[in-house]
Amino acid sequence: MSVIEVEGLRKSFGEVVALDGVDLEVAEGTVFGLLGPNGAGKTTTVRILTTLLHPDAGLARVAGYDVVREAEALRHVIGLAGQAAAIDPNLTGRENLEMVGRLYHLSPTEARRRAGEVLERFDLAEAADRPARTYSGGMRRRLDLGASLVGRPRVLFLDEPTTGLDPRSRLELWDVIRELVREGTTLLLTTQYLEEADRLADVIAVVDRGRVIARGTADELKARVGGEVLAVRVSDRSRVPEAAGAILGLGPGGGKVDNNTGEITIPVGGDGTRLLVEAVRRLDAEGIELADISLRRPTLDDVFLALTGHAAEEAPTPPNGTRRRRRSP
Amino acid sequence: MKAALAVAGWELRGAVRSRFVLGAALTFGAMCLGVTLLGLDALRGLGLAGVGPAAAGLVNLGVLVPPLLGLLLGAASLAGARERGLLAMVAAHPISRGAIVAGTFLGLAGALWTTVALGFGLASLVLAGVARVRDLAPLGALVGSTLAVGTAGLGVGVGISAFARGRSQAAAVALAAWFVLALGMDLALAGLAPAVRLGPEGLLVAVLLNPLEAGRILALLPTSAGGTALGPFGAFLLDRFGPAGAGALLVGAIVAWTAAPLAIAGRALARRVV
Ligand SMILES: Nc1ncnc2c1ncn2[C@@H]1O[C@H](COP(=O)(O)OP(=O)(O)OP(=O)(O)O)[C@@H](O)[C@H]1O
Ligand SMILES: [Mg+2]
Repeated sequence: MSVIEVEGLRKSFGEVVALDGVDLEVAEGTVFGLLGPNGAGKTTTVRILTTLLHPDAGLARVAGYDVVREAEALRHVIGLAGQAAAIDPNLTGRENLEMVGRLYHLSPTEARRRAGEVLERFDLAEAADRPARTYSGGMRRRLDLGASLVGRPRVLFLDEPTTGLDPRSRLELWDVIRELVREGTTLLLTTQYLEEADRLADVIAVVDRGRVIARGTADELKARVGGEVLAVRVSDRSRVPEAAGAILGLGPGGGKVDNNTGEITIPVGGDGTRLLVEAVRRLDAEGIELADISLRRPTLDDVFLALTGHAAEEAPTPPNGTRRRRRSP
Repeated sequence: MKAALAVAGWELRGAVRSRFVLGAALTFGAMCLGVTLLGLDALRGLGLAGVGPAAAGLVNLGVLVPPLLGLLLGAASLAGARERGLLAMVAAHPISRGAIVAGTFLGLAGALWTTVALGFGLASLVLAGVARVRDLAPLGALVGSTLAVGTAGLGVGVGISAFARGRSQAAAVALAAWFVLALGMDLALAGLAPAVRLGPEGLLVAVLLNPLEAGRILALLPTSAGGTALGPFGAFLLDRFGPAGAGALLVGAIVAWTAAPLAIAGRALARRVV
């Protein structure tokens, strides 16, 4: 049974078309990953599905409720952790959670009890009675995520839950999210990282400029990229075209030269090691000196490349790098 | 309703903890104390006793400072919550936008009243020594109308906040509104008065259009029946409607000044992207 059904969703902000006809379907008890670069329309989708924004056109039902006409009823059964942690820095962690409990119409006693549970589970019990402004980024994220669970939602929305976290906090958060899912919550999460979607999501939809351009399991998507990717950089930038000519035909198909970095990437299927050796041999034969050659797992960029033939418009930096922010949501 | 109360409790707690409210309470208390002591001092110089002039000083303070506090508190509320993403967080829960506005207003009203009570509390410690039983009514009117105009300021502030682009814009508009109400309106009317002689309706409208003036007259009504302290507008109201009628009219004006901006804010928020 579908818990989230979205059909032809459109939303513009003035001239900017944020959503250009999005269709989604999410089955009960599964994790759905919305994968896309900056500005793809992930947050806009989440905001519409959580009733914060009205669509210009299209239909969306969550847990059987229409997101526009039955917004208030719907809000009883959903939880949201937005892209920027929304917690009151002047309240303690415990008070923040109790407050959210009250917003779900829980009694003070029940709100306190659930706040305690969440603090325990998210490893915040020790810091519970400190003002949230003294929390680290990771603690804030955990508190925010915890807050979205206080109401025991049937459907949970997490908008880029791990963006800005260090690798260790990211791994910890992944664990927590996986545990939630085991308990049967339906989860829609957005991310810019293929790896994250891969680790957490049962089904992934790739969004680009307000459209879903592909959907499937992580394996299916990776298969479309062609397994691993061979990345080659040559020392002399002027010889990039020559090098590309020598090795682009190597893989099962595709491949591309990034004009900014001079990096040549080639999908290699399951045949990585042999093709790597072959590439080195060919370049050597041409007398082209290598700066770097490596096999790596495909990133969002590679998926984009394979799907659209162009790189993600606003390429995200790798998970542990600092990310450009154009605007806070 | 439950959720609105949760928002109210949240706002109250946040406001009480923020330095702004604490600072405002102390400043207002010190000002009240200063005005009271100066007023009493002047009295003694004249060989008189009683709280009249001290109270008159407090009236001016009371109709100017609490509305400013209310305006600033209100202006910071929704706009600030929006900037920090808290408004969207709250709005994603089962609570209507109107209830968000109502809860915000209630919580901040609690904070504002606490501030005013603290200020007057300090003043009354001093006044208690000289006050007599017949002074209680004027003092009561003073406290009541001060709370009322402060609350009206808060209503207007929350209204501004619902429309503002950000917290600083809201604060700037709130400050401007206060200047217009506190000074600009009187100046404009004083300038206009000789040119266009305000008829009775004009006078009435002039009072009702300015909650601060309405509050000032309301505070002075019990003390000075027909006295000059009421000013031309107050004298006119008293003459025309009698003390009870004038009082009711003024209270009505202040309540409208509180409720209308809140209603507008609720509707605006329902349409706006949080
Ligand atoms: N309130 C708004 N006003 C104007 N434009 C907006 C607004 N919200 C989103 N947009 C625009 O809509 C497009 C989609 O934005 P959205 O926030 O949904 O992207 P996203 O996929 O969440 O990106 P990110 O990874 O940066 O969070 C962008 O071009 C953005 O600039
Ligand atoms: Mg986003």
